[in-house]
Amino acid sequence: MDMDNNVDMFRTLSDPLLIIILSFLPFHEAVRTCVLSKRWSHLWRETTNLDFNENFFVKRGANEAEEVEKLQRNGFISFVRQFIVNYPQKGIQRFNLACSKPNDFPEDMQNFFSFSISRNVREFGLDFSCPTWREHALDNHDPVFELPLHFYEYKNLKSLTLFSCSFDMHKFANFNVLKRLSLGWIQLSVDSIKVLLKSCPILETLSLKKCWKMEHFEICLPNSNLKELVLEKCEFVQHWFLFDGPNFRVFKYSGKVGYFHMENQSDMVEADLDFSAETEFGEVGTLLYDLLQELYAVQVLTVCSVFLQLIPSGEEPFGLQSPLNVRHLNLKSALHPNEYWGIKFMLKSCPLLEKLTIHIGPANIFSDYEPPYDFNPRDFWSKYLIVESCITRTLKVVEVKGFKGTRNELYVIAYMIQLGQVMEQLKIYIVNDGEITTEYIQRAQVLLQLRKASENLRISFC
Amino acid sequence: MASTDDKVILKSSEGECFEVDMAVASHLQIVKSVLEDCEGSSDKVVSLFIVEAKYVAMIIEYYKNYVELKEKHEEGGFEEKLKEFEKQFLEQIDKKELKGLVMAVNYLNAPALFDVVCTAIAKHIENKSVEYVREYFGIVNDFTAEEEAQIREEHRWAYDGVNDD
Repeated sequence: MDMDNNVDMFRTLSDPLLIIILSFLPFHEAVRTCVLSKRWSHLWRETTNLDFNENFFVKRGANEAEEVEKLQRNGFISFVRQFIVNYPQKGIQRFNLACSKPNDFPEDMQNFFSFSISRNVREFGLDFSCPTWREHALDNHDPVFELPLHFYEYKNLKSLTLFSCSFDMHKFANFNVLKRLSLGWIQLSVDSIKVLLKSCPILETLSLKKCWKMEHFEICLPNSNLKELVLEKCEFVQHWFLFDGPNFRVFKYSGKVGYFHMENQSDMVEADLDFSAETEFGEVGTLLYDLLQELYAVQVLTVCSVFLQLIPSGEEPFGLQSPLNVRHLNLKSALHPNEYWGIKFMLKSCPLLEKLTIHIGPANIFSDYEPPYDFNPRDFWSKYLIVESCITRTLKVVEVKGFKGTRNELYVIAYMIQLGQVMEQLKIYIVNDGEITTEYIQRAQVLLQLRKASENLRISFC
Repeated sequence: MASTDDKVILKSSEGECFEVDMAVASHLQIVKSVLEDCEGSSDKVVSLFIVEAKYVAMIIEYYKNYVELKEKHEEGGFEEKLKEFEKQFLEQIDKKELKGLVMAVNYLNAPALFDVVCTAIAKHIENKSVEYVREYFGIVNDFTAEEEAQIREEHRWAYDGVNDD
């Protein structure tokens, strides 16, 4: 094989091979390669990974009048129109369309469906939601577009995404090779979920975003193939969740705290819990405690600030009675003193922890927070310490993202440096805030002066 | 059909021979079809005419680990472990080798590794400035300044919000 030192690494690669590589890129990134050289100027037109998103074309500034927006949207649709008219490939992997006014272009919409079907699309997605809709707001928006009848005849879909697009779930039986289904901005019921799951027997991933009016949520289906469930900001009449049958590998939830009942989730690898929708410090610690117990097998766990504030108010203030299997813990935290007991709780409950990532960012800090015991935030991490076993025995890598060097941040990080006996790596990602950044960097230098508990610890700043 | 205990010999373009478990070699579609074509013959040598020994070794290393990890983590966790290994695997490969590897893997029709290599190449394009991509891959810009400006203008939407690397 020709391995000369010619500068152009792609020279000997054929166009079809380059097109395959381009198809691994997000669509707009593939488009950008048109300017690399003459050879590349048209290759992007053959990528099989099509993703047309009006938000690249329509700029929603406060000053932009509706007329301007309309013109920009017309420009967007005519770009898509041009693209598919000239498209030379016979098959496509993905067709995604995000457009907030589909009914302004009925003929084009029909063409997009025909095009996708004729190219034997595998992953199909429609997003008719509008970026101005707020995800946390309770006002729901009825879908303006309906999935055309002939689309249900198409049987080769592996992945389907429908946002703000209505559909007839009883016709889903045709999509029997579907593995991923993602629904959003639509009214759903517990029964409709049942129908969907029965219709799509090999479905592996179900993702619901901002769906409303569900009475509660349950999946009771023996021998289900479902491996991944994502519930994002959905609205339930009652927040109770029952899972019996599927052996999930991944479970992601964002919304209000509820009652979760999961039958034997021994296969679960990853869980992400985001309760930032909770607005007050209520008596829900026990519910979270019970949920955490059911996630006993999870290896990668992500929890939010609200979780950290609430968890010690449950059954036990210091940690779970039976420990977790977590190896990598992600804390989305403001590192506020309200979260200290919760952080200790999690460290105590994860005796096998190898990696800790702290994502520092704004959080819902409860003004009516009550700690399990009174404490002084200044000496919480240094006085009367009971050091968790993961800190002395297993924790090797700590990453801190969004570092500004506040006192609270330094307390927590110093704790890891001074007591982490087997620590190998501490990576601190400093926030880039223009001029103040140098101050953050200076504050970070303080950490280098500390006595390290582990000789092998390398501290790096990025 | 060969049982999984069997061995097969893969011959590189230089004529170097590699003895490989069938369980590993069967991930290369081209090897599989060659062997199926001469079923019954005792000769288990497959010539990979255009693939250099260096790449044969890399490909074998990848699939050996793939097979071992799959066996070891049958109960679950295979995908995570494979990702970890893939990361290490790619760290040892420079950009020239990446090109050689993508051609070799494409020729041998080995889907899992092909995806890994293509993703690795795509990573050097994604979120990078045009200048970075040209520099990294040694692409010579044969546009005039006017032509380039015109093309950029035509697809201006795609250039908004790039983090230059």
